[in-house]
Amino acid sequence: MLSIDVGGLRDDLCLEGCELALTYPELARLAVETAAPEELELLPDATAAWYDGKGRGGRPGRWTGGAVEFGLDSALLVEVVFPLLTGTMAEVLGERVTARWFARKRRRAPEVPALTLEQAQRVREECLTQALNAGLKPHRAALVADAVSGALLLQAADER
Amino acid sequence: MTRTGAPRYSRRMYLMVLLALIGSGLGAGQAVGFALSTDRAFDLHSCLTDHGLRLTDVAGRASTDTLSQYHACVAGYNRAQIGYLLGGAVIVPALALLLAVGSGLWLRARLRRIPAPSIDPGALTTSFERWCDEAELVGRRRPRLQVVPAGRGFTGTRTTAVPFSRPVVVLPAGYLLPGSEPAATLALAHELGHVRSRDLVLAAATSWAGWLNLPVLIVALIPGAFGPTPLLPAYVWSIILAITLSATVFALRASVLRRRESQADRYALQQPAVQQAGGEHLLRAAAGQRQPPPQPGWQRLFRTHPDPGERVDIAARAEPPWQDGFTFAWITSLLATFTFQAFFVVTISLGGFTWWRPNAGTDFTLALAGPAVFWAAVLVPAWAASDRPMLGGRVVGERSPARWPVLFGSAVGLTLGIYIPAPSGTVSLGSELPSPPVSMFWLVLAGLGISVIAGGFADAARGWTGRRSHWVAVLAAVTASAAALITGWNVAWNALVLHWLNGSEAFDRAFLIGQGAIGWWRWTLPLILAIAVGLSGSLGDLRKLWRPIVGAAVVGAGVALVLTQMRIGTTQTGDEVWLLLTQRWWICALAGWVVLVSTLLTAPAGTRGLPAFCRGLVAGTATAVLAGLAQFARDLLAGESVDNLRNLVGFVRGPGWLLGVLVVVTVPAVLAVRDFAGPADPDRRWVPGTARLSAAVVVVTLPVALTLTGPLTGVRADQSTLQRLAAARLPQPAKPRPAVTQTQPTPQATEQSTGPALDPDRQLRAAQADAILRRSLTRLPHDWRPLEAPKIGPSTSHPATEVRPAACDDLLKRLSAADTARPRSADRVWSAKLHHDGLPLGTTILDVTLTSYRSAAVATETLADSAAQPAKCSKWSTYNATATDHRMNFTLETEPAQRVDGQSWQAVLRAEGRFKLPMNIIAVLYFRVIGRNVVVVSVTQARRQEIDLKQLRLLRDDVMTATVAGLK
Repeated sequence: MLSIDVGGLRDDLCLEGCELALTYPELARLAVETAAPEELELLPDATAAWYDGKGRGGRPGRWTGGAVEFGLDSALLVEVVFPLLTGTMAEVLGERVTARWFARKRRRAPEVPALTLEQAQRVREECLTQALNAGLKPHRAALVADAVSGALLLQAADER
Repeated sequence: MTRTGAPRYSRRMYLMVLLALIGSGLGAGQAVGFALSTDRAFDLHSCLTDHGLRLTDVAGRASTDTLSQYHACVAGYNRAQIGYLLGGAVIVPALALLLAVGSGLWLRARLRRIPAPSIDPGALTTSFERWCDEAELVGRRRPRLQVVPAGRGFTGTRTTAVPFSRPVVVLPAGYLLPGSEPAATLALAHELGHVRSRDLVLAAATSWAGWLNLPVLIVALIPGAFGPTPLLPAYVWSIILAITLSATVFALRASVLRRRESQADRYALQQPAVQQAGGEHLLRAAAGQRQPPPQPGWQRLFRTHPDPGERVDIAARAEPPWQDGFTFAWITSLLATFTFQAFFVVTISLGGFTWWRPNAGTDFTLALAGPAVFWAAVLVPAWAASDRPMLGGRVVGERSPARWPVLFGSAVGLTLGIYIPAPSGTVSLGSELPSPPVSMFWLVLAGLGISVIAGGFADAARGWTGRRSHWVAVLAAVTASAAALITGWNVAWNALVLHWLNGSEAFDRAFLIGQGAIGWWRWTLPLILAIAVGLSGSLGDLRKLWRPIVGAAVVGAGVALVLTQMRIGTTQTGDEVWLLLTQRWWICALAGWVVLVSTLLTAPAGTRGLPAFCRGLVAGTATAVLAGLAQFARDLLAGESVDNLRNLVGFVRGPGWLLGVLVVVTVPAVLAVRDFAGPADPDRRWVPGTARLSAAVVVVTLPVALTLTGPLTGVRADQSTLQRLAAARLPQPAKPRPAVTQTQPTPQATEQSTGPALDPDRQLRAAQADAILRRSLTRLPHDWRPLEAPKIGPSTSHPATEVRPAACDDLLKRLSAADTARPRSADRVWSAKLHHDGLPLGTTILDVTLTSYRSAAVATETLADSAAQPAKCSKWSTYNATATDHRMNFTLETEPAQRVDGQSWQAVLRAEGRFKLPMNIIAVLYFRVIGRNVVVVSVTQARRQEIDLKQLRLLRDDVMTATVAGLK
């Protein structure tokens, strides 16, 4: 089982020194720290929303019920990071149809499922695609994909 | 934030959305009523048939004795239809309102459950309140700011509103990060721009107007899915049009929203706080932040925001308000006449309530009144507020052309609106007219003339700059424009229909003259004239025109007087007197027209003095009326004025009306000449120095040429034409039953008189067969109408499936296979249908098929095969998917053959089935071989049985005779 130091988040989730399976909040923090460190201040709110099951992601084109929008808001990584991670995992695990159901399930069990090495190798490509679809700029999307896939590859290698 | 650059608030859009929803509701209501009232319709037709009546026997066309019976029959059906229509008209807008409010409340409830962000918005909230103060947003219009923490699904800034409550501006907490203040300022200024221009309810309303189209579309398809089988082909085009219309509504909605977004951007960029924060650079940076996902090209049509990369350029551009552009003009006009169609459906559904419906023309006018007022009330104020005059002209130091795209947009919209069927309608009003390209051309021409009149009055209203006086002037201009549309459309429509029925240009001219003395619209011109005089504001401008007015009036009156003296002794009959009278009217009107045109070409327009159009209209009408008064004085002095008052009114109204006709028909052309052939130098007058003579030649040549060639000389001394004119002034007589009277030639009589000079060796090509069949259908009474494709085309017979008994199955298959194998050079079928009265029951169709075989022997063999069927198989049944028991039963009986020169046989085919209602179909058939050709005529009647068998046979025989004659 991979054990990584996720900084301040460990204090919220575990006692000092305890070993944890990689969780979605940890993975999210890793991604934000790598690609958009200036947004870390917003991550606790986003994590809380994800635990509440209220975070619905920032996928473009959502129905707004007749409201008017600015349409030029900057694409913050923290807004999309959780749907991005759960969506990536759902795609990689072949749960395309039931992605939403799995996403809900993950809220109750935040551990990232164990991946095989082959699956972990697919994560980067899938994560990059979803990040671009979520409106992230290419260089930022690449950073996120690298961070997430690197962490998951390490975890997969460790389990092997 | 300040009021600077506040986007325009458009109440007209709400009105358009509301009318669109009502129109959709009416259509959906009619569709539901249509589908669910088949039982009532069946009862109605049974009741009418029992009393010897038809549905078209409405007031004025039936005797008093039968009216009560008629009303008793139609009352139930009408009540139900009205209920469905009104229900739809109320439910659909109410549903839109509920959904708009509900979606707003849903969003509010969602926002309420969201906790406060961990970052304190602090200073941003204070700034927001200050900007609201500066923008004078108070009370219910003052928005509330809610900052939403990250991860709650609100990734962008948005504003939501529920009617009668404060808007809420939702700002993602990302804008509270250090360094994001300028971006927050821009986003909030943009949202305040939306709040100021009241886009919020509009966005919700257009959203639901678009989405509600889909369920309405489904409802509209109900009759096609469950209605009687004969309706299905008619619904194919309705479905295609309804789907197209739905997609168009979504695209237009997106277009409207994109413009509102650009206006909000423009508003934001003009705010000092945004300018201090970076202005355009800020917007450009925000646009660069966003990486939009790739979209297929067609999806760009439905985007609600401009391309991020283009937003700065679009916002920086001084875009003209779209309310006075082409798109707005054609959408408004299309919506007006489309709504008119929906209202027309309501009025004709009220056929039984005759106390308010004196004649069929009333339906048209009543249905048109509301949409015409809407059209004028939306367009004229927008045009009056425009930066440039609609009809152009010479403004100080600058020559401005008329705004042709806008005027054409209005004309095209008015025309297309009556060619799009209402959501549930099987046909549009426009499709009732023959030759669509020709009819559309005339309607566009009339629409252009009407739009020019509206544009002229809008220009007049522009000149009134005082706040109160401007709106009084706009109100007057709206009234004049609406009256012009109602009158012009009535006359144009009637002229087209009557031209189609009569096919006489002389009659058309006489009809146009007569319209000035009948109908309520004979009062339109005085109304318009009074408004034109009122909008002048000062009689000083008009007094300056007295020389051309008096001059032209003297010339016109002189010409008319000379003509009168020359012709007065030659008039013998009342018709000839009337003819002379109308020519005198025309001459007076032409005198007025000359003054009008010269005023349009020479007077300045726009911002200085009375606009040219109104001045020309007043001057021209004054000229025509003066010349007319001189005519009246002549008759009075000569002792030929029997009824002085009537004569006086006639000489004032007649020339005035004809001048109005000339305005609609010719003024667009005159303006076009001015714009495209006038002097390029704006400081030169249109008719300077030496050019004056050539302009005078043009002005004189046109009326002279038109007079000599006939169009402006009323009717010729043609007794039959005059009689038809007189008939047009009276209520329309009841349409004759589609029967062939005994006076029409029977096959035997015709052939005896003309002789059987047939060419038995003639083999036809498809085009020749089409020509013969087309001619043969012209023998039908006028309420039969040849069908368009696909009923005109190759004759194809689909073999029935699951035929019982087996002997019949074998026989029919064998006959079908044998016929298919026979070589032929032409195989065509043409059809005609009895005028459809809009009810779901009852279809009477005549088919005539002409097949040309390679040899006479083959043709004879074909006929012999078909003639042998009754002996071998006179009763059979086939599979039918929609019948209750999935069977349709047929009986074929041979009639006594009427042998003429060739071989022939006749039969009656009856079909019975059990559907939702009993279905009884009867067809009379006539097979005949002429040399190498086989002709088959069948007249099929379903359910109503409104034409008796004898008359069906006469129709059939007459068409057979015509077809055989064509084969000579």
